[in-house]
Amino acid sequence: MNAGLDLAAASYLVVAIGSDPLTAEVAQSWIAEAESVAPTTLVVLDSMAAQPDREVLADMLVRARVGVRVLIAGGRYDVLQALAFAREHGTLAYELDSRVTHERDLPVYCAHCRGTHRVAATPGGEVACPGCRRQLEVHEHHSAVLGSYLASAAQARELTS
Amino acid sequence: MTAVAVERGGSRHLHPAYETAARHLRVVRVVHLTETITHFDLADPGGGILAAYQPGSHLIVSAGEKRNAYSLVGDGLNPTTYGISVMRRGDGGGSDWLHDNVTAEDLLEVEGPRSMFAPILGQRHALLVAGGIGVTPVLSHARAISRAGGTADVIYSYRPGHAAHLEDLEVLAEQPGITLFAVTTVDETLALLTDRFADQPLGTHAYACGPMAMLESYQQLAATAGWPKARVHLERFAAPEQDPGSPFTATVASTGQTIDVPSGVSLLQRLVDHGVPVPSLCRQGVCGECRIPVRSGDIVHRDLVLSDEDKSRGDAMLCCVSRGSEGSNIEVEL
Repeated sequence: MNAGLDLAAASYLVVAIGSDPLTAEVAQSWIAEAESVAPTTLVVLDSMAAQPDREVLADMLVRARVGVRVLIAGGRYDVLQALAFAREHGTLAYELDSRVTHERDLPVYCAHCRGTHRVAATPGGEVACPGCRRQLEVHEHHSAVLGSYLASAAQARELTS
Repeated sequence: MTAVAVERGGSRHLHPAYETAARHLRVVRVVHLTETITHFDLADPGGGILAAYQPGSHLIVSAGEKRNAYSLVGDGLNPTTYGISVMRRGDGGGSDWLHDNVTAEDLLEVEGPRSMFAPILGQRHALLVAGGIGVTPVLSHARAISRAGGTADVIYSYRPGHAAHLEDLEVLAEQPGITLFAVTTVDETLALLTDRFADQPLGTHAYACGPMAMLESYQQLAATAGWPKARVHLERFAAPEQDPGSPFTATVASTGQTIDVPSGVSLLQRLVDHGVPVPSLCRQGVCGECRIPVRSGDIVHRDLVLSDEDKSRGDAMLCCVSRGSEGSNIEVEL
């Protein structure tokens, strides 16, 4: 993604999530380019794991009109969650662009406790579930609807009795 | 309770409400909506249930020598009648024939319903745009949205004295969430389209049916307002004139037969001439009936049905208008 700004837009919504300096840098460069094309709004959030932040983003998306392009920058967890959130609010793939500024975290969906959690892991690796404490294997299976990777008990196949 | 399987000719479904093959329906009501537009309600002669349909679907009606597609105006849910509104064109075609020959109690041969203009699942709001007799599928969409408790902005552009179904739309617009904008001039229509395209919530899909010039403006204004094509849907009832095209050849994959297609003759016509049956209806690249699978070849797509993605895949074509590039060979999967 981020092959360049979609210049057909009638407006832009730039969403910067988290405190990574690169996130701010990416958002700044988007704004500089977008502002010369169409009205541009910036929203800065701490984390997609925080309910008040999700409400702020929901409010922005509800107020947005068709013609908008939504540009999302942040860590991997926040970007994948924000993309799913934007899709849930009616945004199409053509209207979304994103830039992952670090891969220190990952959204995983635990098949057992059925929660989506922010974990320090990578697809293919293992991690303890923050919800049910099972040791999870993170599968290379991303759900665009949930904005997370599927994870299931790493030792499930080894149980014999 | 005794279950009786009903014999239905050729249908794999036992329940009559799945019947969409060619069959006769009885005209149960004829209403003159305007000077040139007449509405016909059709029902099963045996009093049976009719197949449900997606909003924006059409029915194929045998009208004299012609088979024409007419949009159904209902919401499509559990219909007991199919309603079509037909405009007299004065060209001696099927629509004129229906006006001149059909009265209540007559039987008409129909096929379908078929869905070519369905609502997008998950749309959060709709912008519905009707021009003239193009109101028919738009009314179907509006009724379905109304029934589901959804929201829509409806634009209806008509010539004074030719406002078929305006009252039906006004009734729908009494419901909160459905807003009707009625206009009667081209300038008003363009201004209204510009205004409405600029103010639709994220997640809106737009649907339009009307004359070609209006649909052109609709697409242009949507693009100007930053709408991605995936949100901009339309149904045409007429296509632009095509040039005769270049000569090419077609190979029928199942038999290996190679057929010359000269300039000015369609691939469809040549296939039929050589005993390769291909169903067809509009023969102007609008209805999608003659879509055929293509194994290989350089296709010049000239239809108004396939999406840009479909066209770039190159594995299907509408053989009534689309052709091979000059001197090339198209291998068709027939």
